[in-house]
Amino acid sequence: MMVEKKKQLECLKQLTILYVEDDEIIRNEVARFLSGHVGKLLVASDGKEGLDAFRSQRPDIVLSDIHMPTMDGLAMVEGIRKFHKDTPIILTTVFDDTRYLQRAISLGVNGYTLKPISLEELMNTVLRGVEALMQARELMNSRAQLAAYHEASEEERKLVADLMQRMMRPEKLRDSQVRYWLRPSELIGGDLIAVARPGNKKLYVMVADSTGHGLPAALNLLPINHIFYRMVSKNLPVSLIVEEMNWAIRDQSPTDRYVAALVACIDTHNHLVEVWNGGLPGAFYLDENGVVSRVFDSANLPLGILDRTFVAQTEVYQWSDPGDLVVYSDGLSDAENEAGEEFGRQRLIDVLKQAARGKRCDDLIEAVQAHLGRRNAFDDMTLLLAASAPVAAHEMG
Amino acid sequence: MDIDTENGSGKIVRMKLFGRFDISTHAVFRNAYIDPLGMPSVEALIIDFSGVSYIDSAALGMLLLLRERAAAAGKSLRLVGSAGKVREVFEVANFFKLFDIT
Repeated sequence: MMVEKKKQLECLKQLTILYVEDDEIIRNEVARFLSGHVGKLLVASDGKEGLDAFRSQRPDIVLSDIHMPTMDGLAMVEGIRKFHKDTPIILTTVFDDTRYLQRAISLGVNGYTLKPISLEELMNTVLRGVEALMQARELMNSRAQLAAYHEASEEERKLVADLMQRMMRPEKLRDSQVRYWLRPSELIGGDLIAVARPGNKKLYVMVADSTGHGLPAALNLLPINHIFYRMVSKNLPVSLIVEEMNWAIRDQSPTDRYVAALVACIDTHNHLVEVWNGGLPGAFYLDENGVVSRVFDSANLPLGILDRTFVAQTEVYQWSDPGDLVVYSDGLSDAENEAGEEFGRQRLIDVLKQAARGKRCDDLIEAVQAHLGRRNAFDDMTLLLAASAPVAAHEMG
Repeated sequence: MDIDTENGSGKIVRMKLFGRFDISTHAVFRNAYIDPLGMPSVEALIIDFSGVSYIDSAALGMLLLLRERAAAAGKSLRLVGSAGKVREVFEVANFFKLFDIT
């Protein structure tokens, strides 16, 4: 015996079968045969009895004659199909009944067996019904599993999004010198902003963009966020902070995961800005007259690629006019409109140049959003403006 | 993304990539280089980017992984044919410091 058939026979032993037949002799013979193979056999002598039995006992498979008094087999099938689309239904029919078959098919009957009934053929037809039932149940099971899995993973994503939110600590990012915009493309973003001003002196900022999107991208941001706040609080130099971050990612994540980042320190008192840029688009200093007086191109590999031999070299710029250090992630310049055209770096610079000093961040956000239109950004978009000195509230607009 | 693999002299395997090289091409890319890396006759792997229209950070990650595997297998690796936006991405990431890019 084939394995499949054996399985079906075993399955049949657990099932409830409804058998409907008005002819007493046939009914008794078939019922005697079936009762040896099924879990529970329900017997009815016409369609109405059959439908009542179906409603009260919910059999797994229905086997029915067509021509019967009170209610015929097809009317009963129609009654069952209204509410149960998947229950296998098998009809027993004499050869002449083939004209009914068209209607039977449209009602979703799964199979038929010809009268006079050969018990062997009947069994094969019933087993095909069992097979259909097993497949439908398997599918339902995997659907339910999929739904449960989806739900669990949504829960996890929400948890991580919440953790990320806490890690970012928006209240920490509030600083009179800093304006920023952070828009993740998914619930969990791969971009990070950190801002700190230890002892109310120098201002430290970081923008980081982790490989890929979502949860795996976010995981790499945890260690560097921690290192940033811990080391900045000790007033350690930017180069040392960057080297420590590089090693943490190199040590803790797979080779193909890295983080593009920019770390900067603004020393208002001495008019100095120190920048390390590894993998972010060129940041720049835009003075109050709208002149880009210094560009900080990415001169380094992103964090997490080189080993301990990595030496972080920073650039230092001394400004003569007050201004803003502008840092952004490539998701912002790559933002595409509905025609597939990128927002682009040049447009970004132009918008900022034309904006009033205090409205630079707002104007750029507005321009990017107008450019995107109804389109969703496919990458996280991050923008940060760090002013050379605290800007009075009335100047910020 | 499509990949054409050419094994000219048997010592040098040239893989030409077409289309978008991003996170969704992980398996395709890996499957394309895993065999050549295992062949003792192969000395060098050349990845041709002239047909690539877009590259993202996940793809750069795949190149880092390939670099590590090629080094472990004792094969040299060259990235050729990058232009425009793809070359710009290589430049911002400073991959010129790490890879033989021409």
